[in-house]
Amino acid sequence: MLGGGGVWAQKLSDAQGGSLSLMNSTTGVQGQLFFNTTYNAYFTWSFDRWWPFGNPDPRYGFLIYDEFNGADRIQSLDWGNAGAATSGNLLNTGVVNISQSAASGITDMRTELDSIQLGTMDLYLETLISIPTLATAGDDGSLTIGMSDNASFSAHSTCTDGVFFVLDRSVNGANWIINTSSNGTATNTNTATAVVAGTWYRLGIYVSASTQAQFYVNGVSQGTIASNLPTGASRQTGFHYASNKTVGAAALNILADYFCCYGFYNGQRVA
Amino acid sequence: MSTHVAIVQTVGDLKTKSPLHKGLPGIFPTNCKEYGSEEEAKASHPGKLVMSLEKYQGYAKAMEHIYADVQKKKRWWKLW
Repeated sequence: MLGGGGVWAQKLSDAQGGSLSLMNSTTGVQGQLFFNTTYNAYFTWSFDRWWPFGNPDPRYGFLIYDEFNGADRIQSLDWGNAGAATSGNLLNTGVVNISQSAASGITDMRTELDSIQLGTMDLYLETLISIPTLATAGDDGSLTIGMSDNASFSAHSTCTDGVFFVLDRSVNGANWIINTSSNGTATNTNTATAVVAGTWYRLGIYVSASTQAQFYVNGVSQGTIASNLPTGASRQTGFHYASNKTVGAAALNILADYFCCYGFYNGQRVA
Repeated sequence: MSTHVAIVQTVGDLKTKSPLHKGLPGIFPTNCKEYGSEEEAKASHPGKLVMSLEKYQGYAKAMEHIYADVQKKKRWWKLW
């Protein structure tokens, strides 16, 4: 039926439900619905994963999404120090460029630095990014993508509180480094997953309450970190992209195509 | 699956202290690595403090209190 009414009815009747762990252990079929009783929200099977179906009841969770189409990059997030808009292409609509050229300087795009407190909610964030030119010894620096609370220049992309990917040639070549940081103490793991200049990568970070953070590149797990997850009362962080330039004058850029994030509080947070 | 944490760097190891780490005691950890066993952690970082993940969570809480105290003192001195 045009408009999908018949399919809709069929899918609702097909919907199943259960806990988060049941959902995570269930492989769905395209378009199937699952009512997640842990999160009190519907999820739909999309190609190879469960994804929130519509906006959840905000008492239980949220879904935010930014395609970076607007002049100030705002859809449902308020990004400060927004990067410059750059041309999109057939598959990458609304692209921003976070670019730093001068050494010992930082350019970043971020939400309020302490807008998120982890510890109770499960949070998944995902962004599609590309690094047009990789750092070299003569034009060096480091990049931060994820959650970080440092808006000042940092040669190795450190922060007080955060959960994030770093690309730092001087530490791990062209390979990603996964990081957590809580009150200035970091845990980081060098991955063996290399970045190819000009290629788009889907970076994902899943934080399960106060337990651990799991990091993904194109849906493939890069490992988990369970220590120094910022979950304490004063350990807030924020969504953050940053280019920290250490040596040379050529631009070190992050192109960001979209950002999305969902969080669920594992219960009703307010009456 | 990580089971152990090695504290590979502390404030005492830093040649130059960033504003973030100024005022913190030398034992305050700045960088950790996770490993799947105690043996692996000790072999990778001989001489460094290694503890179970569970124990580290308690240790980190204690360090958090130290960090908070130092930040409070920094704020206090700024007032003067």
